[in-house]
Amino acid sequence: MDEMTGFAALLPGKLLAETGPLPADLTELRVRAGRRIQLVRLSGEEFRGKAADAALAEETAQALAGHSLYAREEELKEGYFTVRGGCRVGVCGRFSAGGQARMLTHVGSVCVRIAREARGAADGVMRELFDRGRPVSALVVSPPGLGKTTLLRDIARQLSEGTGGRRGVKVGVADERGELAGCVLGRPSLDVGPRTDVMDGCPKRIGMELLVRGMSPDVIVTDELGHEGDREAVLDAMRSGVRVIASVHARDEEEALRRLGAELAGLFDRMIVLGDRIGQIKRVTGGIEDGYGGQSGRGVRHDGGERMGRTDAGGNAGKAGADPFGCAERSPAADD
Amino acid sequence: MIEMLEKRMPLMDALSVCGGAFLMVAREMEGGAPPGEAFEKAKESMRARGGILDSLEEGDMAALKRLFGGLGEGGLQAQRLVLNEAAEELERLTGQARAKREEHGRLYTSLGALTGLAAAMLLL
Repeated sequence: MDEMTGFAALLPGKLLAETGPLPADLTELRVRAGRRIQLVRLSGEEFRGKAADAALAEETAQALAGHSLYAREEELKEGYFTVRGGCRVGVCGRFSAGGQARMLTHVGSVCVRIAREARGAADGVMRELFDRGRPVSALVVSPPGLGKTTLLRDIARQLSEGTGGRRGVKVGVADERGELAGCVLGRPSLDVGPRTDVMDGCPKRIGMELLVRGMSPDVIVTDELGHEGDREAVLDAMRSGVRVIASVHARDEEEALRRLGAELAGLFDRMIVLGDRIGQIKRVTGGIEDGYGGQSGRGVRHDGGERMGRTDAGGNAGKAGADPFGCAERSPAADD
Repeated sequence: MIEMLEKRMPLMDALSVCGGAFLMVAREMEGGAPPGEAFEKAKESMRARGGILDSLEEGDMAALKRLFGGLGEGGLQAQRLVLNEAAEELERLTGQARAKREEHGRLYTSLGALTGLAAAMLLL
């Protein structure tokens, strides 16, 4: 079942009758009470059907939750829940007052972001995530909507499966928002690899700590750094010898540095900058010591304009050697 | 009730665990139908001669319709209310059926079906 088939099967028939067949390049579906249904596609946006009645947004949310919104109340306090296949359903409307115990009482609009499993999205960066055959820590830098999560998911999968002749490593995914692995009832519905353990829905700081303590990962993958406690979480993991691959909302390295602070940003060996269009890997830099945007040192290659999904032409098979990761030994110079 | 609400079980899973009429409604929900609609679809075969709800009376069916119409609607508090009301209603109907049996001195088959439904609800 592909993403679109799986996703459409969850939608109420009343909604599909308005939209007609959903396009294959759909990235978002928005239902607002009193408004026409908005489809956001890779190729642009369009409105379909007649204005949604007041019940359609609520019915859509109910149907996507498997008529079990009561089971999603904790998630809804964050404004969204995740459904099978990793699609994220944002819900707006009336929340009853009552501080932390607030509850959604009326649904006004629903936004479904369709998760895509772009196998091969990380092909263009996998070589950069190793130094002398061992994984390094890396930060994916991008504005919203350009493919950070998709890239992180494929990095997790490839590290876990093994890539470029290297054996797979143990990967822990701290999936606070449930988008990386698309877990449903604790089980990943997206492919994050055979050696991957997912801590779903718990705060990054706790998730990373529990992963380090309980699952002894070689690499932790997590998204959207920038919250209180993230620095300590990343630092603690790294002190335990775990590499961290994470993302941050920022246009470039400068903004990432401002958002995270030099101390946290400086912990990463690589920065992967995405943009200006979905899936484009703009450049990979060698981390804070390279002075951002630089291409020198630590085996870092500039990959301007590499498109996600392109096959890595590096041919980085190498010999397995005896390193603990079972990774092929590779000299930094070979990357350049 | 405890299982479904305390463990935040998805409705279809909770109904499937209960078996009987609840399982048949869960099966109808597999196509995406909301529980009320799924109950209406399943009702026909359940009400047919020899069906699982063959012996129920109109009042009993109305109580079940209200239950399935309310399941899955709203949050935890709303669900707790729906389940509590349904449990009370089934208890009341079971009491009525028991009284009828004693009054007429013969077995009312609806009593068995209602008792079964009430017992199954305890698993929700």
